[in-house]
Amino acid sequence: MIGGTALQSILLVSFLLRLTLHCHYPNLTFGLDDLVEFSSPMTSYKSLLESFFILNHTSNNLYDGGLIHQQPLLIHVLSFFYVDNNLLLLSIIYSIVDIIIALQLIHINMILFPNDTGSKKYLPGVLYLLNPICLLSNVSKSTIIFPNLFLILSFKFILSSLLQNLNSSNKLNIISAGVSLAISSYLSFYPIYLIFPICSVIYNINKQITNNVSNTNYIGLFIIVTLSTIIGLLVLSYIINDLNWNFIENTYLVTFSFKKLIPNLGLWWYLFIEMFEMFLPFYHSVFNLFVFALILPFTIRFSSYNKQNTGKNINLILMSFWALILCLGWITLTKAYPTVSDFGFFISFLPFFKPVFGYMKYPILSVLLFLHAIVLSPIFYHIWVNLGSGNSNFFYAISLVYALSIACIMIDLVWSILRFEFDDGKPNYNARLTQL
Amino acid sequence: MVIISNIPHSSSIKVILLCFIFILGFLVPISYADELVETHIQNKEVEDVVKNNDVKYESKTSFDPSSEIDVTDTSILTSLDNIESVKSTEQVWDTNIKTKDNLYYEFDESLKITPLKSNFLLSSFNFEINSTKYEPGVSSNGFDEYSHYTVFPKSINRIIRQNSVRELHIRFTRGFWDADSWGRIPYDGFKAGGSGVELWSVIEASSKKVAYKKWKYVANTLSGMFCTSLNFVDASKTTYPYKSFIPDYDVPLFDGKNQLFVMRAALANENVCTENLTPLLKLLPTKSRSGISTLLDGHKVFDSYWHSLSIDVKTICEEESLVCYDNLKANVGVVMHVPNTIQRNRNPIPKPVTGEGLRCDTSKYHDAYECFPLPDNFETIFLLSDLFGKKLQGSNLISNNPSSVCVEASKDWKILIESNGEFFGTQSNCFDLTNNDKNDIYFETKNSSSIVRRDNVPLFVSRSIMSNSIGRDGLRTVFRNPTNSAKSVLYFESLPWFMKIYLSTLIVEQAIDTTTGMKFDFDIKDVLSTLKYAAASDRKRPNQIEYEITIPPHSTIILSYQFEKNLLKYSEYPPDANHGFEIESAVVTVKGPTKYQSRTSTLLLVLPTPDFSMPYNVIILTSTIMGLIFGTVFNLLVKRVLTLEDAERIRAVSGPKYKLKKLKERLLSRFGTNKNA
Repeated sequence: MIGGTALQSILLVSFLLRLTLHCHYPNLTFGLDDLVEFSSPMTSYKSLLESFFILNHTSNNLYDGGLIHQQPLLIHVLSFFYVDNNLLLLSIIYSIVDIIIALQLIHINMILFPNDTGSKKYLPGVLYLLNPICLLSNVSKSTIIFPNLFLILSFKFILSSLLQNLNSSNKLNIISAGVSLAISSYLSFYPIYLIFPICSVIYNINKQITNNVSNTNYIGLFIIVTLSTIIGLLVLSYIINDLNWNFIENTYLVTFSFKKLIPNLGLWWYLFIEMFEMFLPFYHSVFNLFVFALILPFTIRFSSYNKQNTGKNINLILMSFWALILCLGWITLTKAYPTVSDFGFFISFLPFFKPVFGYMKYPILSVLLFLHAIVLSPIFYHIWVNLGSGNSNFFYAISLVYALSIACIMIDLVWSILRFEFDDGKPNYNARLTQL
Repeated sequence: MVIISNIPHSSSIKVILLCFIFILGFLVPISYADELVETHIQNKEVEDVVKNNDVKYESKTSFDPSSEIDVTDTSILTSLDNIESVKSTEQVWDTNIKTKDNLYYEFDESLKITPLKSNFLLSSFNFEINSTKYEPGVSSNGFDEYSHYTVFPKSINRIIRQNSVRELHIRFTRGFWDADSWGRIPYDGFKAGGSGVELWSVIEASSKKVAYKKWKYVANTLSGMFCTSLNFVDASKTTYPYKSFIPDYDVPLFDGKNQLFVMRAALANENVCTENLTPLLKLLPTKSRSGISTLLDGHKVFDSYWHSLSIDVKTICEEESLVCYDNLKANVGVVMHVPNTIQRNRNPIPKPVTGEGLRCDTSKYHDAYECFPLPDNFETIFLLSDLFGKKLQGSNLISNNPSSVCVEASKDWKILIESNGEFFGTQSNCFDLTNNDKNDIYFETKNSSSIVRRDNVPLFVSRSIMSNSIGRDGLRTVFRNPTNSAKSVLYFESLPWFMKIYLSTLIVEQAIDTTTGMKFDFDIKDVLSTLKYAAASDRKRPNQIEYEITIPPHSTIILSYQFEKNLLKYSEYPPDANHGFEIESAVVTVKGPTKYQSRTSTLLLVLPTPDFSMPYNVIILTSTIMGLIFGTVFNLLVKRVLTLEDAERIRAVSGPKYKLKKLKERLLSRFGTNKNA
């Protein structure tokens, strides 16, 4: 379906590059895995290896200790590919997953912007493959790549239904999307919040394809498939985990209650280290609500026309897809254990905002803020933890700068989308606008 | 009325209480004295003795049966008939009191002194007490049942009976045992702990939960008894060993429905001091007033290179008669450097040696300013009282066996016992103390480096924390077998929960043949096949690692694995957070041919710390960032987008400025109309 020898060679080269880095520089993997920027307790490769060790060499339950936070199904599936301490199969899997993600990005681009020709068609995928953050996060063998894979598969299936006019095939796409989203949510929980913006995408797609036909049943189907798959996966995990529910505590509840006090780039860690004991329940609920806080506002604002405009030229599907990406960005910003890998995944979707690029006010500021954070954070972490010559506030300050850089990008994008909507798809960069 | 009637009521309670206390004051000495009826003497006879021998009289208000009665063979005979004397509250200090001949208690004590290399001297004090026999399973609450304690400490007995403790072991150890030059640790290491305090016990209970409850109770009680921090022993420090510390005999089970649980905890590098020694001496019937325990003075015991106090309590049952008794062994081991200790006696304030006092190599040029020092002097003469600051106060007077002092020295040593200014020697260098005089041991040698050959140490183990520049931490254990035979070893390690251990990284770093210096292959799979591992659970359970490893003869094997440090909550850090956290020592048990146990030194783990002055700042800064981001985005989403001109137009008819203007106009017009009116 996707052709072009140029593309094929790029895919092949990036696959081989990843495989070489995985197989020939195992120390790079472990070195990156030691960095708090690339590894969190929830996604660390070392704890994945430790879980294989526990499975193979002890009779203990995986979640008996407090070290393993990956989901039982993920561990059991991946342990198939880890035979006799051989990393080759695992490396191939990690490399292939990255290629699949890139292909999905190209797919989505072709669906959303069918008018693109030539190399422009493949741009998002190629950018993803060449993005150093994505490359390094892949080499760090962080397990965040698996929920990301299923999330992007879910996006693709949803948008594919746009191409199908036949109802039966549409249904299949929606069921696949639901299953993918469920797996993604099972693996990292937060994608479940994206069920709302995805429903709005489905709503708009169906509105466009089948005018005047009630499409609530598609949304209903999607929600039912997603939820029942999640329940199925949880039950399956319960069975595979020696009929023990203790994995819930060690995978999801640890995230909600931030039990592992490990520094990271997020907003949570320093607050919960420094917090007085009696305020902990309050701040736990505040931070968990905060992650969800803007999901519905984004969804609602960008799923329908602003009444004062005619809006005939605006692609509503694109708008609701942007809302979905903004929600993804919001989760990246506010989740409990964020890594740069999340950010890399988020910015891989930025090419889809190209109609609004012209409205962006301060992209340079955002880029500089991000560079500032990403350069200084390993240094500040090192001088705090390893050298002991700096203190924790240095790293804390950098994690705040990192949050601000993501926020800058998001605020810029939101304003650009609002301008785009106001201009009704016909850019007028000279208009002086305000809000009331 | 009510108030008035209350007064006589409360005062009558006081009166009754006073009477009660009064009666109790009489009864307590009587009940105590019952146990020692045989030893008591008639008042009149005492008075006679006082008149005849002109002995000092000392007045005492209460009896302490086990410590303050001196019994020796003398001229005055006591008869059992003279029970009136029990009521006497006066105690006589006299060396000429005689008791019934066959009276003795189940108590033994001995002192073993061993000169070590480089002028060190090991003194090992042993005490052993047996309780009276009892039938297991018979309720002690039965009304016809009475508790009878002779010399067995009541406090320990209560802990054991209440919590169905079958074995109890406490260790207080500090200092450095130089195994390379001193050889094996005394008693093959089974009476010494890791640096700090160690506690383990075998408890009979119906479930693990009940056992833990009892364990906690035992630890808390011992904490109070021995003035240690054992009350800090909680679930996050308690381990349940699989193979190490398991008794090698059948521990009696009083109730067949119950199980036995072995639990262990250690407080690394806990200070060991006088307040731990004094309670230990209080457990002894002699209470350091007579016998070898008179030597034990905190100032001297803890001013040593290595010291270890240990208490082991066991329940032993006789198979035929189904009768059990408790056995308590206490041991105090002290290693002193003889020249240093004597030097300090002579010169409590350290002063530089004068020019004449320097021991210089006379074959080279020397004067008061230039000197090539000679090695330590091997010629020494000293007395035991030089080291301990006291003389031995006779025999223990309670046991059937006299207190014995044995010196394990080579033929180059001349060992004599001094008693009343006279010196005696024996072939075996062992002395039984039978008199009640002050005794001293005299040591003399021309060559103090000549010592009795001790068995070689079967295995040396050391452990260290590795850390590289990018912050990957690891723990490395080095096993060295200097002997000719392979040694099978049981390794036990307990690490705090804030060390996240990755056992998947467990590797053999190196295996070296020490005779040839060649590396050889050592398969980690043998270790892994015996591995017992309980991963830590945050704040609930420590890491516990146990494995068996066989070290080939003349070889060194280095194992290592990686760990990560967890951050703690702001309030969980100790006041001196930057000092780091003490990690308890690993325990290594050599299984054969002679069992030997040794411990690695403790480790210091430095955790990264947050800034302790930041709580409010963090709340303020993080909340500001969150508010800023949320506020901006939400504002963008809910507000209407419109051109500047439109906005101004709208503001002109509905903005706050417009409203203020309207208000002003209205007020003015009203004011104006009023004025006009």
